[in-house]
Amino acid sequence: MISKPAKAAWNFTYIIVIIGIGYFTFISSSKINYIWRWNTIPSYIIYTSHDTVSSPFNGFVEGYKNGELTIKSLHGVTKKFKLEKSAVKKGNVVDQGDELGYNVSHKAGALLLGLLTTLKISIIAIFFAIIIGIITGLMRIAENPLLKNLAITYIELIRGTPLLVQIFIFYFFIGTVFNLDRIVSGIGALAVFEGAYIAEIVRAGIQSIGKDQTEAALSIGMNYFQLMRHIIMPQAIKRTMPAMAGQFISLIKDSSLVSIISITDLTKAGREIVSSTFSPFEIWFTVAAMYLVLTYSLSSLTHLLERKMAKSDR
Amino acid sequence: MTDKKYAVRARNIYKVYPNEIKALNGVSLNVDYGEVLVIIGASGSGKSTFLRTLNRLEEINSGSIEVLGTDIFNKKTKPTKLRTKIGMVFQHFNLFPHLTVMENITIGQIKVKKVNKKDAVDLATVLLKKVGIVEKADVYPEQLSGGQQQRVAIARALAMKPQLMLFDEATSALDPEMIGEVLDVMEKVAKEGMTMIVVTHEMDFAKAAADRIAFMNQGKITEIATPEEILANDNNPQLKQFLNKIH
Repeated sequence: MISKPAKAAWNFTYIIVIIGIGYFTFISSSKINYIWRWNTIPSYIIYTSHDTVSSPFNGFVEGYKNGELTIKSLHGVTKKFKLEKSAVKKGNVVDQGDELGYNVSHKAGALLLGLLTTLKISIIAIFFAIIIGIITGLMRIAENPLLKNLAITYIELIRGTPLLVQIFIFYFFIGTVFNLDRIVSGIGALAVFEGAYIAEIVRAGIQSIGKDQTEAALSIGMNYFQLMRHIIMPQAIKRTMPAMAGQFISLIKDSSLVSIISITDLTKAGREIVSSTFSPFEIWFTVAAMYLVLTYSLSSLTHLLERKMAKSDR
Repeated sequence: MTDKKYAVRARNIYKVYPNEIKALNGVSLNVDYGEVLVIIGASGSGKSTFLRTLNRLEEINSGSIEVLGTDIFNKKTKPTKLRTKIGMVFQHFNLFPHLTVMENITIGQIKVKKVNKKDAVDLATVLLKKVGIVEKADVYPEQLSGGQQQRVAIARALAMKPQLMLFDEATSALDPEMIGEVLDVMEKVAKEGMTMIVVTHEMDFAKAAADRIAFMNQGKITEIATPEEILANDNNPQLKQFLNKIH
């Protein structure tokens, strides 16, 4: 047991170490003659765009009031525009196509779009990975040798080969044979890959539930499906939550590999920006931070869920 | 002579475990409807194994068993259907920890017998009153004492409206002060005319509630008689030794 003042001292040391690492990074980066341009980064997340509005006809400006510009055509037709900023004044003559002013809107930058793609891919892949994982997990513990061996083959094949290679196979072979879209190939490869790991988690979870539960459920007449659905799975899922959460976090990180088949996820977006801005340091730090936001929110969410579910724990 | 109808009719049951241990070595037994049969015997004598063959939690190597008029090892017999008619109470209660007491008692009715929820809750409430813990309906099993858990387990079995109840050492895992409350419930069920097969070491319960006592030794029923006859038996040295040990 560490005493309170000692704890405070260690925490202080921790902060010093972190600052030290930061300083070291700063010093070493200033030695390599690199120009940091952090100010360009926010525009890759959210940028304000000026949407210019041009005049639809030849005429003159009647006035600009309360963000509304009124123009009148030579034929006496009046038209009103909502404009945040007007480029013309009352009495100005405008020709067709002339700029009247612009509206300001906030748009998602390339990195944020990439993040959303990563999120979308991950959520869909997690959904299918869970289904694949539960089915294979159940097959894995089945007595029937066909089901069992199929499950083992699948799990061993997937766990024994690199995800990157699987993505290539999915995209170039399966994707070509079945004429799949690249994003479908990417999601498919991820789901199949993580499914194998989830299957092992499911298997371990089910096997951790004692035989007494099975016997009790059978003794009131439940069949295999009811036993799994109402008795074993609810307990197994609760028990495997931490492992599952870890696997989902892995999936989010692994999804960066689908950028290799030209899916514009967060990683690919980062690469594209780097090649146009030559600011690799800032971009990759930002990309890393954005992945961290996803994974950290997920792990916080599961912690919350775990605590909520703990009320009926043994 | 036409065959008399028995609740349980077991003929020459043999069961050998994969490690060559003979668990059941030719067990034959008839149990009448409404009878309370207590099975006693040293641990490893096969009494629990025999009980568990009656609802097919254990398979057998040879012999035949009829339970409630059904040949239970016939290929056409569905174990799930059979088991709804046979209640079982386990040594370690085996309650479902993720369900409340009420849900433990209603889940079989709702999911297996497709009873609607209200009727299931009504019956469960009646049963909880019978076992004396109606106030604990909404708590989880972990918050109950062993005796309370076992009474819930009895209610869970009764909720399926079984015609036969099997008790597998229902009080062996309990602290001594809780054994009485569970035995009381068991006696209550017995008095209502339930057919019961009870594996136990509680001779007081056997004396009070049993119609017959069967003594098992090395996978065989070596004595079966009324409680008075069993307790007075002088010819069976193993039985005598066993009775002396548990008293």
